[in-house]
Amino acid sequence: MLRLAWFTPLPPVRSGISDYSVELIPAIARDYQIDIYVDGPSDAFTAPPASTPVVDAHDFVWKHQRDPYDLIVYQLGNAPCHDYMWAYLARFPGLVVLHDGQLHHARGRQLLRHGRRDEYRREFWFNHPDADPTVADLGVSGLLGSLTYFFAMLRSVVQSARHVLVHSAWLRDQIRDAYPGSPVSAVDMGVAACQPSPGAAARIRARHGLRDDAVIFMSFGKVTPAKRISEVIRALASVAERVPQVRLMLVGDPVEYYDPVREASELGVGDRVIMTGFLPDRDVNDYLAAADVSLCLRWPSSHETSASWLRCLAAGTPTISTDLVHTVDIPTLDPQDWRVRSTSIEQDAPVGVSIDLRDEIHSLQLAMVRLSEDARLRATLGRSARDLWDARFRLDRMAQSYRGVIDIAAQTPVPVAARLAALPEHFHSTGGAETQRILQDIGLPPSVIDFWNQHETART
Amino acid sequence: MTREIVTERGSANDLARLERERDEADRLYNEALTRLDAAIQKPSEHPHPPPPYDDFQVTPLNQRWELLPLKPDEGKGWLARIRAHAWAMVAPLFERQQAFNAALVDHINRNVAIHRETTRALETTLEMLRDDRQKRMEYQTLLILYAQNVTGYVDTKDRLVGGLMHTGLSALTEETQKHFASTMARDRRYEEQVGDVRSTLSVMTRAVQSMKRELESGSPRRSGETANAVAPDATAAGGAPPVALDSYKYVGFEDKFRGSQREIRERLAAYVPLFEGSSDVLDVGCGRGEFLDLLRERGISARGIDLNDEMAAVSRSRGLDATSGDALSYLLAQPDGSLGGLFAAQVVEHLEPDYLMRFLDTAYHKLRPGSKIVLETINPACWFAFFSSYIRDITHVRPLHPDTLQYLLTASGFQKVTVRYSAPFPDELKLQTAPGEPSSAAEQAIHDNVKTLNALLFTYLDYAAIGERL
Repeated sequence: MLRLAWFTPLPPVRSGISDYSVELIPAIARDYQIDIYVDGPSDAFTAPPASTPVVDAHDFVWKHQRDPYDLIVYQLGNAPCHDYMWAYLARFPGLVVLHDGQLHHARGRQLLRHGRRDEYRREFWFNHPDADPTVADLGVSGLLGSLTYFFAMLRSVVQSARHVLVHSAWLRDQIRDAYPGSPVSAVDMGVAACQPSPGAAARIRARHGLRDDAVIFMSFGKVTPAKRISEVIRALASVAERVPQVRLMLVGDPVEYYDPVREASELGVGDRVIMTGFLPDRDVNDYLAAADVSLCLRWPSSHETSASWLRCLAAGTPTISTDLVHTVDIPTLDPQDWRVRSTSIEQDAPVGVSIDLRDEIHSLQLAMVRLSEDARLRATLGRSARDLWDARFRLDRMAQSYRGVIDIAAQTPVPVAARLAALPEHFHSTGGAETQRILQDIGLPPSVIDFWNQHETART
Repeated sequence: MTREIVTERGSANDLARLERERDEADRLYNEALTRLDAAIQKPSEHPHPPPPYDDFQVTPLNQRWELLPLKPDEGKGWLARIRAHAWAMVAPLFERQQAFNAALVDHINRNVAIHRETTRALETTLEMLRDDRQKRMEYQTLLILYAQNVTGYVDTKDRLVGGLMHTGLSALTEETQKHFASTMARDRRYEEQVGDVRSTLSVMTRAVQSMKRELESGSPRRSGETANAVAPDATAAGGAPPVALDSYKYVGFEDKFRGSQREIRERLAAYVPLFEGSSDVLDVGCGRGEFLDLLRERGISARGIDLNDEMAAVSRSRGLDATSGDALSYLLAQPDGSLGGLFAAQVVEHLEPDYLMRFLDTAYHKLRPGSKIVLETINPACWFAFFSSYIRDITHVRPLHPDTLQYLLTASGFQKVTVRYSAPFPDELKLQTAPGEPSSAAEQAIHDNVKTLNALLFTYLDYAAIGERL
C-alpha cells in the first residue's frame, strides 16, 4: 500500500480545500496509508473521519527522511492557508493538485510581505521570461492590480512537480500548451450527495419569514464583491416591481469591507436581502434545499472549480453562473436569447443560466425575471443539474480518478535535477545559513550542523 | 535572466533614467533646504537707545547768564567819577562776557527741544528696527515651512495623478479582462464545436468514400469483422484479408461506447509509467492514437497499428506514426528484438484463440529483453463488466479470464507476469446490506450473500496482464 504525505488545510480553517480534503480523504483512505500535514500543531485541526493521522508540517522532513513516503500530495491554492507548502514543493517534488489557475497572488503576498523583493523579481522573470521585466517592478510597487491575473506564475510549480492534477480540461490544456511535456491530468471535481434534513426547505423559509410563493435566489460562501453580489442587487433593484416575490439570500461569512444590505437599502431593496452569516456544512445542505435558484457567480476568476457550484448541481438546484472559459463544457442557457451554450453541436440539457461578463447586469435581470416566473424551467434545469452531477461530479468518481493519477504520479520519477536546478536560487534554500547564524548567536560552533548531518546519514 | 539583460530593454532604461533624475532632484532639493535652514537669522543683542537728554543745568544757566548790574549812578563826587571811570574800563569786558553768556544760553535753550526730539527719534528708530528684524525672522521661518510643505503638496498632486491613473487603468484593465474572458469562453466553445463538427464530418466523409469504393468495386463489404487491430482468421502475413466492419461505423461505435478521446486518454495514462525509459513501443489496436499521444508527450518513441484504416487515419492526421493492417502480420514482419514494448488495450478479446497464441509467441520474439507487454481487456470475472461491456460489442470474440491471460503470457515465455485491475465499480452502487451487525442467522445469511454477489457482480471492470521479457 502506497504511503502518502498529504499537505492540506483542514477545519477549522474556513477554506474550500479544507472541506474538499475532509470529503476526499475518507473516500481513498482504504487504498493508501495517508498522513495529513497541516500548518501548525495537529491538535488545532479537525481530522477527516478516516482515522487519518494529522501531523504538524514541521515534522515532515525528519519523518520523510526516516521513512520516505511514496508520494507527497500538495493541495495548492492562493489562500494564505496554503502558504506553508511552498517550503516543501521544490525540495520534495510530488503530486501538485492545483486548485487555482494562477498562483501570483500567493507568491506576491508571501514574498513581498517579507520584503523579499529581489526574490519576487527573480521568480517572476523565471515564470514569465517573455514578459517585459518591468512588469515585476509594477508587482513590487503593488501597481499590477487586476493585471496580476495575466501572469499566472505557475512554471516553478509545474516544473518541480512529479505530476500536476487540475479540475478542468481547459486548465490542463493551458498547462500543457505553456509547458510542453509536463505531466498533468484533469480530473472532474466531485462532491458528496446533498442530504438535507427532512422538512428543511419549509423550516428555512419559516425561519426567515418567507412565504411559500417567495422565490429565493441564494448565494453561498464568503460574501465578497467577487461573488458579483453588487451586480445581482442592481439587477434585482431594476426588476423589483416586476418580480415582487424575489428574495436574495446570502449564505456565508460577511466581510468587513462590503455591506450588501446597505447597498440594497440605498437602491430601495434592502428588505429583499437576507444575510445568514457563516453556517456549518449540515446547515448549508438545508439551505440548498430551500433555494429556488443558486447564484454561482464569480469574477475575477483564477479559473478555480467551484465546489459550491457542484454542490448546487448535486442538490438539483438550477444555477446562475458566470460564463467562464474553464466551465464551458457545462451546458447552460444564455439569457439574452435563451439558447443553449454548449461545446457540443448536439443540444445538451442545460443545468442553469450563464452570464456573459460583457452584459452582466442586463443578463442578470433577464435571468432573474425568467427564473422567478418560470417554475417549470427551474424544475427542468434542476433535474439536469442533478443528472450532470451524477454523471460527472460524484465524489466516488473523483476518488476513482484520483487513484489513477496517484498511481501514475507515484511511478513518475522526480523531475530531473536540471529542471529543479533551473528554479530561482531561493527555492533551493535549506535554511542552513540561517541556522548557522542562529548557532553563532547562541555561541555554538556551526560545525554542530555537520556533526548532526553525519550522525543522521549514518543512522539512516 | 539577469538584471543586466533587463536594463537593456527600452522601458527598463526609461524607468531607470527617471529614477536617477528623481534621486538627483531629491538630493538637490534637500541640500538647498538645508542651506536655507542654516541661513535663517538667529536672534542677537539689540543696541540700546542713548540715555535721555541731560537738561539739569538749563534753568540755572538761564538764571545766571546776566553778569552786569544796572549802570552805576553818575554822581558828582570823585568816587563817582572813579566808579564811572572804572566802569568805563571794565564794562566792555563784562558786556562781551554777558553777550557770550546770552548767546550760549540762547543756544542751549534752542537745542534742548532738538536734543530731546533726537533721543525720541533714536528710540523710535531702534524700536522699528527691532520689529522689522522680528518680522524678517518670522518670514524666513515661514519660507522654510513653505519649502518643506511644498514637497508634500507636489507629492500629493503626484499621488492624486498617479492614483487617478492607477484607478483608471485598473478599471480599464478589468473591463478589458472581462471582454477577454468572455471572448475566451466563446472561443473555447466554438473550438470544441468545430472539433465536434469536424469529427462528424470526418465520419460522414469516410462513409461516403467507403460507399464510393464499394460502388466502384462492385463488391460491398460484409459486416461482422473484428474491429480493432487484427484479423481473426489471419494465419500469416499473407493470410486472407480480413473482412471489415465498416470502418466509419466503428469510429462511431468507439465514440459512443468506449468513451471520448479525452476519457480514453485519461484511463490509459495509468499505463504510461510502465514504458518510462523505453523506445520503439508498439501500440496494437491504437485506435485514435490516445496512448501514442501520451507516450509522445513523455518522449517515448512509439508507433501504432490498427486494422481499422479510418482509425489509423485519425491517428496519422494528428502527426502520430500509425499504420493500418493486421497486427500479427505486422509483428511477423519486424526484426526479432526490435520492439521496446508492446501495448494492446481492449484488443485480445477480439482474437480467436489460435491467433492469440501466435500473437503472443511472436510478440515474445520481437520484444527486446527487459521490455514489457501490457494487455488490457474487459474483466469477465466481473459479471457486470461482462454483461454491460463485453457483450455490447459485436466484434468481441472471446472473453479472457484474468487467470487465463496471465497463464497464456507465462506460457509464451514472459516472466514477472502480474494482473492489474482498474475501473473499480462504485461502492455506493453495489448491493447494500442492512446497517449494523446482523442480529440473526437469516440476516447473517443475507449479509453473506450480498457480499458474495458483490464479489461476483461488481468488482473491477477492466484488468491488464503485464509481463516482461527477460
